[in-house]
Amino acid sequence: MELAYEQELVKKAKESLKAFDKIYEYYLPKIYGYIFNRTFSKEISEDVVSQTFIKAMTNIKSFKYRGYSFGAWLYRIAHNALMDYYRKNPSIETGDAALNQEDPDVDCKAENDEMKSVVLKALRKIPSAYQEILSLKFFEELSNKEIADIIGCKKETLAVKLHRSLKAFKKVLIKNKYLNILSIFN
Amino acid sequence: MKNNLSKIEKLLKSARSVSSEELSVDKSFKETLRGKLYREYLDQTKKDFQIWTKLKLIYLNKSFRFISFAFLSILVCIFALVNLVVKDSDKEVPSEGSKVIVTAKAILKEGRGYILKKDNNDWESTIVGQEIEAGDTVKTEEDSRLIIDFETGDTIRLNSGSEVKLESLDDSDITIEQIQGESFSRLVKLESRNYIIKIHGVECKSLGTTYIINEDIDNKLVNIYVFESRVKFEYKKLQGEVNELEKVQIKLEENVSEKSNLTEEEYKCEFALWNKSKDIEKGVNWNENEGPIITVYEPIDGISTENKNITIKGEVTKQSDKFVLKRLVLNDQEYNEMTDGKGFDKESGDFNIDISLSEGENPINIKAYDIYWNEGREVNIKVIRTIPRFFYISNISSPERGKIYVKWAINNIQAPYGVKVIWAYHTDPIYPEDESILINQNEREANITELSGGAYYVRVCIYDGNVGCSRYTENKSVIVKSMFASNIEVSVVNGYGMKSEIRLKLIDGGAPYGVKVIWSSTQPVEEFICFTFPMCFNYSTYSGPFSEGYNILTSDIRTVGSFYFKVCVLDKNGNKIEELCRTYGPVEITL
Repeated sequence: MELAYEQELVKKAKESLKAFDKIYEYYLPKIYGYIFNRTFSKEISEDVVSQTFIKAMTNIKSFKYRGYSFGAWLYRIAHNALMDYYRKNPSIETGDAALNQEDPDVDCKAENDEMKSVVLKALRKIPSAYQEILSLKFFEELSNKEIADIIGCKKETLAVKLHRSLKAFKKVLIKNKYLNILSIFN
Repeated sequence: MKNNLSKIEKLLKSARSVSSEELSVDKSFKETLRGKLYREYLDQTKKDFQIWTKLKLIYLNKSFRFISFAFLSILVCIFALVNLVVKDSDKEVPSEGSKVIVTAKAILKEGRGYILKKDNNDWESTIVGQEIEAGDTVKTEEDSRLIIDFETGDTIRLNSGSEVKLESLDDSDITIEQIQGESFSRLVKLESRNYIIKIHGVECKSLGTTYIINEDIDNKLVNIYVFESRVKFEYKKLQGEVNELEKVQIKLEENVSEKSNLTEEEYKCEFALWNKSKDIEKGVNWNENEGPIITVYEPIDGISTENKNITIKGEVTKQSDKFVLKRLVLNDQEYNEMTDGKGFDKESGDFNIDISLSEGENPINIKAYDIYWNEGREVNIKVIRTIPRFFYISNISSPERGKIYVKWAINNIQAPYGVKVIWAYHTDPIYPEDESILINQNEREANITELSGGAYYVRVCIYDGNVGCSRYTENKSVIVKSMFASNIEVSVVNGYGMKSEIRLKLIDGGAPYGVKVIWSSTQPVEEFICFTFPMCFNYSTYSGPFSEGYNILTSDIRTVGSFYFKVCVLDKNGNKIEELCRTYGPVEITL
């Protein structure tokens, strides 16, 4: 979504349901995907996504552009909602605990695509905090500043965390003898 | 190492294994969450409203009542204006597939009427901008109409003498009981709410966007006219769907329904046109365009032909693919199908139509319509039919009273026995039944004389030399003025030597066969004296002819005394024309 258009839409959404609905239409699949990638659970994703949008609606009037997009603001709400969820439901396995589970629900076109399959498997084997950073960075294509804001750290710290996430991901690739897949980028 | 990390970045970017685009969000979850958000919004709105109410209470203390009222009124106006602007910007009809979160407010937008609030027993006049709640009833007067707008973007418009009750009004259901009259509903395309109108037990659920419902109390009928999309109806065991540009008539007593196509009159009825104008104000188009385009391939405009019939060939094309060709009207004759290669093919737009031609100029007017009765620019051409003429009257006139002049032409036809010129007061005079004269074969003109006044029909025919005619010209009519005056005035003046002077005024005609003057010492003049005995010496005949105006006659009385005079216009046979007789006298005749 173009920034100018998004800004206009957000401005209208503070007063108009219809404008908010457009935001809802646009961001629902993104936020849902983001949460699903963290939880691999449809049920939890729906719960968290619901909380995210309700919070967004009730707080949209307080939203102001401070160098990051409305989307980043939504991701931060989603991130916080997920953290809340885990706090309130300690019995639920986090992404870390679910690392070794195969996910039967993932409706992914990569099923027959070796590269995507490898990436997915490898991602699940790194800590959830790293998964989140890589996901926000490469899947959701947010800027470092936005990611830093979402996960609640400084931009400089984020750079370090991003580096560590990539290293962790690489380590998994090596450990599982997936590194040769990089040869396609030679 | 750095190179490897760069490659890993590329890998992650290109993988986007579980990207949001590839995840399909469960549809029912999406709609449920939409509903939750809507309710959340409503709760917030209520909170806002409560804040306003509190503000009002604070300001409405005794000392500041007037000022605060004025201030609040201004605030309310500003608030309403802002709302209106925001609302209007939201009122565009969303494209199919897009979603609008339903809000359930109904506002009286325009018009006059009465409202019966659900907790009230008295009807009150409606106020524009007034909120209508579930349970409220609204009615119009005999000379007013009302518009109720829902925040969903839906609108119901009431015709005069109509009454509706808002049965339910929430995010998933707008149900209206139409107690009487006629309503028009213009709806936005929403899957997430029901829009139902109930009327006399008939339940009409909108599957589309625009329809009229009315009743015919006398005949126990409910009519549904669908202008766009579809409407589902149920009545006892009856149920069905009415599609776009269809209507259904539900006979309540017989429990039957009859479906048919909307007519142009129904589509363009006054109430529908009023709704159309209201829709246009809201920026909603009514399937209007400039109509189909007509191209005529043949004949060429202005062409001449001797044929009795001509084929009009051409093509009608749509303004856009959305519009379907419906019918072609050629000289007020409607064509909407093609059979045996003739007619109008709605699919291709081709037309091939035979029309008959009259002699002379034949104007041909072609109009084409799509299913929404959009009329394209009409096309007008003309075809001139010339008839080869061999025997015809070329000139006819009445150059003077009681006379017809006729001239004819004969080409390539033999008339060895001459021609007959026939005339009568009726059309198609024939020989020998009607009056006629025989004219020599070499003559090409004739005068018919001594005719009475009136409109005559004249023909010329080829005389067969025996008892009839073999061929006739066409009829020609001519008006002939009578030779005889329509009125006369008479006066007599005594003259020198017993020669009285008779002054005769002939009005609007003459006396072509003269007049007879009778005199007698008694009154009235005994006609038989003079008219029964030719030798009667008390009369004189003046043979004339006398023309219109004053004519002076000198009498031949040879006796002094007092006399009465009677003057009569004579016909061809020398008989008096009774209505053209006048008496005058007595006149003293002296030496």
